[in-house]
Amino acid sequence: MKLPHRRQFLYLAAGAAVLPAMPRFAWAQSYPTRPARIIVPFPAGQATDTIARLMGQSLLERLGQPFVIENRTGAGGNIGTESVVRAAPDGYTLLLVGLANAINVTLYKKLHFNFIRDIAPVASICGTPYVMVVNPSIPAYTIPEFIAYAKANSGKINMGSSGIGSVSHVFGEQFKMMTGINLVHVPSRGGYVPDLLSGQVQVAFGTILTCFQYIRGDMLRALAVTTTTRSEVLPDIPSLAEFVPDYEGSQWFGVGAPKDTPTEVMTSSTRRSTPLRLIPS
Amino acid sequence: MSMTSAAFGKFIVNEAEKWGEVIRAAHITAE
Repeated sequence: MKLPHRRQFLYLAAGAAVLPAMPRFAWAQSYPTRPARIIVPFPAGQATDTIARLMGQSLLERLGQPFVIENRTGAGGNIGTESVVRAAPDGYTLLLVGLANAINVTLYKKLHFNFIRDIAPVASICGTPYVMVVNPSIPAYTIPEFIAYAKANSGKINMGSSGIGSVSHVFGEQFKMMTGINLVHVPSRGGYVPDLLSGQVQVAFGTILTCFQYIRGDMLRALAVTTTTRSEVLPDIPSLAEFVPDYEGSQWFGVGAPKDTPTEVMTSSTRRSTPLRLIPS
Repeated sequence: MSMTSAAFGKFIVNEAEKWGEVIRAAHITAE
């Protein structure tokens, strides 16, 4: 399924987070009566956190109650996710979910929870492409040129990522498999951008939010975005699918709640919700 | 772009399957 993405890339379904929890419709209509928490399983300052904070501000304005962002980090997002799994299904603890949660289903074999089973999906928020960027030292200006260069230099090009099993990693592995090239994965816990800027790694799949300033400053060269259509943020950059048919990778975000949150309340709330678009500064 | 909770749930399952195949094919294991 393809997630739409829009100019400036943030799209918040504001009612989404409002939805949760309680056995009675009347209760749902009065929700929330006290502050709620949105658990972000990644550090402050990352895209996930930024989206949660924009959503929290929007919900405060719409509903009159604070939605406090709590960053519970670690284990690739699993610590924060598990804290929501264990929380009371009362609508006052929500989870900012994303592609990392779906990846972790396969990546981690010994979790104490099952994300698909234990987190109730409430609503999607937004989807956004990643962008494939190279250090300017790479003599490739298009995807076909990069593929040819990589095949001529097999095993000599380093691909940075945010870590093993991160979104940037799996997007890169998908590209490697679909093009038959051999890139050396170099995971980084502290962020791959410094290594990419210095040339220690030569290619990466990164968020537009992270890479945009470097692309604009000609410090990194964007070759393609990972969605099937071009991004309105980078309209001159082609999509990978223009050269690698069927390649598609979208980062996406949404809201989840503990599994026993009554679905009828979520459904009624979804119907009442109004999509809200937020433009990031 | 908003999905209902049901549609979002199906989407998550599809994404887990899609990227699970990549993880298995690339032999990616958690640290």
